[in-house]
Amino acid sequence: MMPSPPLSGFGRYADPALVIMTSLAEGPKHGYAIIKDIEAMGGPVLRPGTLYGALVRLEHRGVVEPLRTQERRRPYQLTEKGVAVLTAQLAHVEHVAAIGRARLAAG
Amino acid sequence: MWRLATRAVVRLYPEWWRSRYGEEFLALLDESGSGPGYLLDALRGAADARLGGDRGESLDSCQRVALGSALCAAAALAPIAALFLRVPESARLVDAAGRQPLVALSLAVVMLGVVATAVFALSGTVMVCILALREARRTHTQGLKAALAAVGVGVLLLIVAEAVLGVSYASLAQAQRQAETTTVAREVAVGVWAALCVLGIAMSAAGLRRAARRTHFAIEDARTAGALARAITWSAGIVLAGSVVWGAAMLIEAPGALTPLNAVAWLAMETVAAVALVPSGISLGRCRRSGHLVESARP
Repeated sequence: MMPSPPLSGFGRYADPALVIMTSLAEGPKHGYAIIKDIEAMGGPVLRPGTLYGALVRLEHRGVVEPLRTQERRRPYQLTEKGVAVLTAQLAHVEHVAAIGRARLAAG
Repeated sequence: MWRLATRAVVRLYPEWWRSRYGEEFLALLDESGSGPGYLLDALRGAADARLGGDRGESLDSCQRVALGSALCAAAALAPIAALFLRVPESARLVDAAGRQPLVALSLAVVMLGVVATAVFALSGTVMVCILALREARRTHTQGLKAALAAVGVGVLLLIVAEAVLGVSYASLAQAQRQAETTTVAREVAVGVWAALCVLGIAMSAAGLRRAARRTHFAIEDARTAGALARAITWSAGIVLAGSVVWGAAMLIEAPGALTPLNAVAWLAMETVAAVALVPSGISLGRCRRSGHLVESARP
């Protein structure tokens, strides 16, 4: 049986957290750059309240860390733990997707 | 306009959140779009920040439902007090009670219901305070202790208000027999009662706000929220039971004392409160099975 996904305790912030980590996998970004990058990826449109709800949770779990503020904007980057969490979460998503594809093919 | 309103919502976030994220959040709001969706998103974020505490915890889903529905139930019960202010019972009932033993018995049942309601309401509130204080001692939360002190003052005022109402009604019955200025006495009694109730509730709310400002009080974690949800649910249930006793006594024993509008409003509010308590009870049952509330109530 597959273990629980790392973001299972995030509630409604699980999906935003995943796309935020995916965006930060490319390198440090501030809030507005994260939102635009996620839109370019074809992900959900994140509004500021949701973005910061997810960012606060990610920071307090040591998944992302803030960098120095630049003109009122503060960039964030993935930590080593964040890379591990993102890797595990993506593996979980791929596992579910593989099962889904196999069942569709069988049906 | 939407952008200004959304920026104003930042004031609703807890102080620790504003000092840490406020500036960058405002900068992001300046760059982002605006509209009702952004405003609602910021409001939801503020509620999450308040409930999540300074560790960004998410409430367990069953605790979230329990807390929300218990608060809805308590809110639904509040208008009952306003309704009872409009019950035109005293003159007709007291007058009839003096002449007919059966009506006198009915009046005694009604008064018993009134006393039961007051006792249930006060014991329910005290239960909230005891459970929350126990939780505050466990978590050493100074802000919560200060808030409870303020709530305690408010509860004391409510007790005084009930006492004033009881004494006033007793003197009212005496005055009724003597055919004296009953209307003025009744209005004064009800006015004093309502004013003290409002003052008590306002003081509690102001105390909570002061405590929040001074100590960054927020519901510390999901376990605290679970314990409070249980306390609120129990107290709301107890108040509901008390008002059912009173309302049923009124409807059965003295139907003439209630206008049709009173009766319909009373039944509607009882139904709303009872329905609101159902999901809370179910969720608390789930919480108890999963161990959250046992842990928080008995550290």
